[in-house]
Amino acid sequence: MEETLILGHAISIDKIENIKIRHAVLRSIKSCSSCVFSDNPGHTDHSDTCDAHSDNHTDHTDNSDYHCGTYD
Amino acid sequence: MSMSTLHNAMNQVVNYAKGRRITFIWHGGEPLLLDLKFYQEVAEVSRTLRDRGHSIRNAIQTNGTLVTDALLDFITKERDFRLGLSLDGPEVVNDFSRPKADGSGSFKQILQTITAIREREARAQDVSIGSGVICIIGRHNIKHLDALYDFFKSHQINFKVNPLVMAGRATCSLAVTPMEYGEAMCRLFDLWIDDPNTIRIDPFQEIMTSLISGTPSSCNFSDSCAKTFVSIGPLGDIYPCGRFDGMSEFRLGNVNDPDGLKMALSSPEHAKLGSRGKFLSGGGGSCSGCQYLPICNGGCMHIAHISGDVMGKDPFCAMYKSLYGHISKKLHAALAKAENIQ
Repeated sequence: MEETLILGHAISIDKIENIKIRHAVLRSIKSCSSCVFSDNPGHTDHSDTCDAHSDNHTDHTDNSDYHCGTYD
Repeated sequence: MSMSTLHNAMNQVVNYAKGRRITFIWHGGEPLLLDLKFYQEVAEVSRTLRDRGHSIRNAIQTNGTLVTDALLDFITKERDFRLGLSLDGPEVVNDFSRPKADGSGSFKQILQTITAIREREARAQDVSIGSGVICIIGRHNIKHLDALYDFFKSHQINFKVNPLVMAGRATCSLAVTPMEYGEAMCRLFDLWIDDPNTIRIDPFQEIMTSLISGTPSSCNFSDSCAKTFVSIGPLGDIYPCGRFDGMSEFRLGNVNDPDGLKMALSSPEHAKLGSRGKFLSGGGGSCSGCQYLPICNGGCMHIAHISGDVMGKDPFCAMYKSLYGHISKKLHAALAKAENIQ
């Protein structure tokens, strides 16, 4: 697997032992590299990104789809 | 909410959004006090809008005590509705903070709802209804984080933590200070991060993603939620966020007026709220120069408002910084370890 620069560390993502951190890295880089919504010029906010992720991630443990979370 | 307000709300939102993906979050109070016919109408309107090419999803944030078999049948069939529940932890904790009107606890019903949802999802396999919960941290559970984490873990329930804040007509004394909340969050993060159990806890997963990507990950940190959220009350009144619902000074208009939403979202009042992030980050702004500005943007404007100034920074600022720093250390350690085993 090729190396990716994450927070100044050149790593192969599959070498990240902690699954939750690996998940966070995958989410982060996918928002830029392979998110199906990334070519939408208006798509700069987190909430759309988060929704897009929830629908399009099939390769890791993301099975949640929380609401905005500001309410209760 | 009347059926005519429902139609006006959904149609005006869709017209305003101009092709953007839309999620309607049906919130309360308790949204399931409305009967199933209301949500059947929501589904019908959604279908019509989808047929016109719009991307629509629906979600219901409920206390979990009024979820019926008929509702689950409906959600299973419709497929575009998701349920989010509220649960504050083990029975003794939850039933203290979430009693029913007759004084009895809600815990057993919420657990039954989660079980019923999981049974439906297991039977239908390709249906995802959702059984994640929002857990509020206050005086009632902040001293019992180990038990709280063990409870959610043992039931495999994903959860999102929010602090209990005093707002509106609240008179209770369960609110915790930002410092107390920050210490609790760091403690909860430590319990979770190295545990091989993979339940998801937010905002931890969101914050890790934010720290790596450099972009905010939830509405609280999104510069101004006024840019991506709008709240429409039961009578059609428009507010920048559900937390402002009923506060006359934040009422922006009404969807029962022609072009009500368009006018509300182009009003100077709305524009001012939308500029909050820029205001805070600009020269001399409270957040100017903060290293976490790109992922925090001054925090939640509602919490800022109840602390005295909607354009001010969220009073949980010191707590956020402490938590970001705590999580950042853990991230760097894990990434350095990965770097050294190439």
